[in-house]
Amino acid sequence: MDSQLRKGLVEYCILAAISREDCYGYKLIEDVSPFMEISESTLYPILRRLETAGKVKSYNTEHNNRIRKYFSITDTGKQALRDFEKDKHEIIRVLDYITGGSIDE
Amino acid sequence: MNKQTFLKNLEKELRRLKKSECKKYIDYYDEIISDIMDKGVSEEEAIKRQGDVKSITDEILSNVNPKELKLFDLKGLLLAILSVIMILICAIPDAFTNLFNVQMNSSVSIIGGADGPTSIFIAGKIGAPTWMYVITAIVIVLTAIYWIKRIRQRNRS
Repeated sequence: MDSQLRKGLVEYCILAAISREDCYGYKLIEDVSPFMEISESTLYPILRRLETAGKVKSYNTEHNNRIRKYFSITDTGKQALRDFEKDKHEIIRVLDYITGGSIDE
Repeated sequence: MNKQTFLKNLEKELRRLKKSECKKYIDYYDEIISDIMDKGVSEEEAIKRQGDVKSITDEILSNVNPKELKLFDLKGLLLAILSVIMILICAIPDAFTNLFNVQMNSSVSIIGGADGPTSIFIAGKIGAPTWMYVITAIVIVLTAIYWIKRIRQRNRS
């Protein structure tokens, strides 16, 4: 997939995964990688961006005598997902236009 | 390579970052590698999966927010201090260079010693030896180049 397009989508994938349940880094990779290829080194910048934007927040818990950082969604994050949902039809329409209508909805 | 070595290398490559920022990356990779190992993957394999440290850190540093970088680093600071000291030595010959002149111009002093105060007058007049000025100039230029490059880098990133 084109890297620019990927970048935007993968961010929403991560956000969606976090919205379903609080997640830690490795779990996010496991959850999202069936849909989009994501590596450890690409995940972290995304998490930071989401956190800086206030869409997710993080907290630490102890697991097997070590610290695990969990991420949970905020109201801003939920709103971002709702906005994306609203744009869904527009996005599909654009995709249709680009591919000349050869995409089946 | 074990986890400790991997994290050490990571820290070394990220030394341009502020300590607190660097620690976040270290903690992240520490956690991820531990989690992969908890799944029954060997330490060696879990680290191999991360890829090469240099490419990880290159990516981090190329997308870094300038605020996360250290303002002063050791090299730049040392260069700046060195140039200030050198300028002082050159600018205040009486205070500093007499120290040098005693050694540098000892032959002059001995020859001129017979003339008493005159030799002291001459030695004092010479000021810092020429090579001092040359080195000072080089150090100042190096410092300037270093900092200009650094500030440009910060502004670009």
